[in-house]
Amino acid sequence: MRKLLALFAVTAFLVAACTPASPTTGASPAPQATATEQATDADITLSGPVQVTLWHNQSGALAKGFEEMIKEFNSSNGKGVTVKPEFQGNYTQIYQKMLGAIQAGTVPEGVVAVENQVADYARAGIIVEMDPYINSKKNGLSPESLKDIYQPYIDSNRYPQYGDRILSFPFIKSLEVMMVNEDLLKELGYSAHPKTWAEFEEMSRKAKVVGADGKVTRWGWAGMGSEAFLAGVLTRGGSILKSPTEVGFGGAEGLEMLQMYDRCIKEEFCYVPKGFDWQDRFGEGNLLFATGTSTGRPFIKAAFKKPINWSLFGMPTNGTAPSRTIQFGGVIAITRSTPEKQLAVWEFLKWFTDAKQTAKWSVLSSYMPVRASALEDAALKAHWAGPDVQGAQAFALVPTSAAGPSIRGWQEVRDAIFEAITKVQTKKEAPDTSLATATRKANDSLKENQ
Amino acid sequence: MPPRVLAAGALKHLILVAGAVLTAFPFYWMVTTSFKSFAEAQSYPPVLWPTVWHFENWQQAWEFPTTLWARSFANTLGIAAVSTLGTLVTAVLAAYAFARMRFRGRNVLFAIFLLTIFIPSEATLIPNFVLITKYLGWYNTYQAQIVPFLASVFSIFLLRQFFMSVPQELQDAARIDGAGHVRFLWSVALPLVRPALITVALLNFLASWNSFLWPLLVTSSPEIRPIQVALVPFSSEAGTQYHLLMAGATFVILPTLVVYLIAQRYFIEGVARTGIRG
Amino acid sequence: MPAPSRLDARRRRILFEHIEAYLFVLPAVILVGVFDVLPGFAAFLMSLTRWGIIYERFAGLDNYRAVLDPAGARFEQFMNSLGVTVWYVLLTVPIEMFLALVIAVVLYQGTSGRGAYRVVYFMPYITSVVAAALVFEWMFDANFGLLNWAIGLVGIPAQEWLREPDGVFGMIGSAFGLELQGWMTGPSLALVAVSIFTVWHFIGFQTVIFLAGLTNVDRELYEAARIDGAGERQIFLRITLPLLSPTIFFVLVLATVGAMRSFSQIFVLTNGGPLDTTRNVPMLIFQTFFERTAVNGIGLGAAMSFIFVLIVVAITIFQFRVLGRRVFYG
Repeated sequence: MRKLLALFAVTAFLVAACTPASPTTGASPAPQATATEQATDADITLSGPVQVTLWHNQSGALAKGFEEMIKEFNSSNGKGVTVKPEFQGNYTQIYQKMLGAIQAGTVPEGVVAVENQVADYARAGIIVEMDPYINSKKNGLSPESLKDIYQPYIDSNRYPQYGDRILSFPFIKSLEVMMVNEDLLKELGYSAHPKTWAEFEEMSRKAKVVGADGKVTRWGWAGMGSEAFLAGVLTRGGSILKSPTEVGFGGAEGLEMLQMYDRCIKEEFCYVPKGFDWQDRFGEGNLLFATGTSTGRPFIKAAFKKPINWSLFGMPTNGTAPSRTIQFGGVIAITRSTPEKQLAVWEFLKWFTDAKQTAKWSVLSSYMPVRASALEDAALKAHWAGPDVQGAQAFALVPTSAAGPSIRGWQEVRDAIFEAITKVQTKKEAPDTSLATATRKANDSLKENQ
Repeated sequence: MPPRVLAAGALKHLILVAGAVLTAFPFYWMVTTSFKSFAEAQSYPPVLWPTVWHFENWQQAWEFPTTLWARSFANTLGIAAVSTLGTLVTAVLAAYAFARMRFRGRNVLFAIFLLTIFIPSEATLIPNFVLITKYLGWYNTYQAQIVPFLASVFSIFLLRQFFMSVPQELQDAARIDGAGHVRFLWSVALPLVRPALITVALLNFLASWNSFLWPLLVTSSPEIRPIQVALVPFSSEAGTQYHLLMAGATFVILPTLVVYLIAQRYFIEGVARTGIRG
Repeated sequence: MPAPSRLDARRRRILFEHIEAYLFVLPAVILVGVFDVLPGFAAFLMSLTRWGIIYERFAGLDNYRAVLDPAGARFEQFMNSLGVTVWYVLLTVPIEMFLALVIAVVLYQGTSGRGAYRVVYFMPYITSVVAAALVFEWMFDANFGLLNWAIGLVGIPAQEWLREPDGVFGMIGSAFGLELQGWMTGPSLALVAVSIFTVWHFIGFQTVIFLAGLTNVDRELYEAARIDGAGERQIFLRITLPLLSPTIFFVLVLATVGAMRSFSQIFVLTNGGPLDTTRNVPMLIFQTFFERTAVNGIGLGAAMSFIFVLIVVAITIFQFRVLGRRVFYG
């Protein structure tokens, strides 16, 4: 009996293990069919009702707004498309679900992801190339409409490991920005935002106040994360990626950034946050600068104990490099299903990123609109002119922004950077050792994910 | 009684009471926080007793956007009931056979069963996942949450011990009366091991109620998820509204607590018994 | 094919009995075979492949090499996780067992209210880890948590608990002006916080088993010892402990294996962070499978789990060899 069972088990699993997970996969990284076939798929006419599922990460009030917009699309698209939104948790949780669904062959028609996750999915051959859809005479975007979308937003959806093809579309976009308490800045005797990191450091140092009990009660800076670090590398003249298997932040620029943070921690002019509580310090008026996501605006305002005059501005530089920043956020990828369903998701994406909708969504969610023409929208204009000036300030930085590379393994690179920062922040390691470790880990990850 | 004995007794009770208070405190904290106002739940230093009882918190947590508590509860109840019943049937049959029937390969088979206890779940998680989702096509279904749990080696082991303690004379008497194994099992052996059946049923029900990782992995729709998994999006949704979070935690814990308090003897004795036998 | 009539009655009965018995065990055999035995074999086969988001190819022992090569990144991760696992066992098992033993002995001696205490102590064990972890997360909160308030009462500064990657020995050391380095800083405070939860959750389970063990000790032995004039301490050391040693040993083996394989509480409370200081081996395996390395997560993760199984089994055998002999089987 035991032998029989063992034999049964081994055979069953040899058969199982040797069957490829998906018939469309192979050694070739190309997940797409030929261009002509795709052109037909993208050019079909939708007839009859099509229902598609979209796995997303919008929760709370945003989920409500998002789902209402989807309802509006469902009732107004005139092509019989029904989008069924399913909340699946945060990016990581969606990713876990996707890995499962890919094995099971039950992926949703559309999925919210970050770019490096899409790069993973594409390896399984389940992602639909979007260039034919974008360029379709019938269902695509006009050249003017395409140009209206910010170039960095389109660029981050090109995947170098898949022939630079567009495999996803911008969904929710944020920027790493510098926030400043203008009242405090004035109080310290400054009339302009810092242009260089040296100025920035000096101003931050000056903001520090020590209370009677010897504890720091006012700080210069908080919010050093992977994105702030990468923005710092860029504005010091460095690069994010040297080659497909080598990161670019391991050199002098990255070191300078970590060393600055190290000084800031040791001299205690940096606030060491517990979770998001730096927002409270900012709201109390006890924090001069903070780096963070532009989408945090409502949370910053909610933390105000008294009215504070504040603004967002671009990253300081080394004096010669141009000011740049990092953009990030979610994209939506279309998975291989039927031509009708694929087109249905595309129709939704087209609608959702249209000027009117993207403007509406920006007001609602504080994410950046994906199009320049969204600025013409009256509601967004009014919103940014009045209650949310900072929104417009952030938006002005979009053209100078760059995304992290859309390649497999990038998540581990970000984790490695974050680890290095945390080690400096907790005074566990010196900047040079922690950076060396992070660089090694990052490069290992990139190599492993080739 | 001499004062020294009294003092020793008092010390013992002091230790026990202190331990019991520490053990029970999280439950107390959970329930009382669930009735505090938002501000009071966040207040520092903490408020140990709600100044005003906000019973509406529970309603608010129950009706929280994007949660489907009622549905999740029904799912959990259904899944737990079916898998518990199934486990009872398969375990009673197998345990009886291992204890009271003679057949070739019995010991080898039982040894294999016992060995599976040592295969750690981390190692079989992925193969099971691939098997269920890819080869059985059960991703995001109820059967994925039920079928793998229809047999429990642990339950078989426990019941086998009990069936072995049923006196042989009873079986001999039944045979003389012309009763086969099926009738003997049904009308004599089962009633005799009733307490063990209850223990096995309760422990399986509890395990099913509390299972988390597996349903998290094999389901994707809120409509078919059990409450443990439903608690995750709820907790990220409710964020720092700790009064609501605690209400949600209470929803999940309270039913098991009630069942436990009613049937605690079976729980504790079941565990104690496995402890000795192991 | 022989006709049934050619079998004599005895053989027919044996055949029928066999068929009946096989039918009885069949459902369990199929289920255990498919969901326990088969995946066990499959896990081993998977560890020999390069399989991430898709199956790629047979890879021989490559994955084992990747995990065990001291120069590789996977080795570093694995060793770090192994270290976390060891600390976690040391932080939970002895404390759990000591406290449970004390409670059980005290409960066993003083009979009044024993049932009620037993019910309370066992309560955490039956609660869902996910829900209970929510409560503990709240109590561990750095800003409004009850624990920070409590330690504040005795003058200890507020801590980050689940978010604190610093080693506890290092923290205690620096409070007394002693700067410790490297591994000497000990397990992170986050791991200690997770351990506190674990002790709370499992202590009742062990108490109940110890109590059952104590109940099995023959009361007459105590009577005899008392008549011989033995003191309470002597009775405990000379009679209770030796007679309880099989139970203690059983709990030790069970608790060690359980602690090494802990997952849910870590997954819910810290997800392996901060700075991977609570990422034990099961957590690493899970992350390798499901969160990272889409290229070869299944292959690598399966290899890691097999190596881990060998380690767990080796430790269990070691316990049996070294400690099992000292157990007194009266």
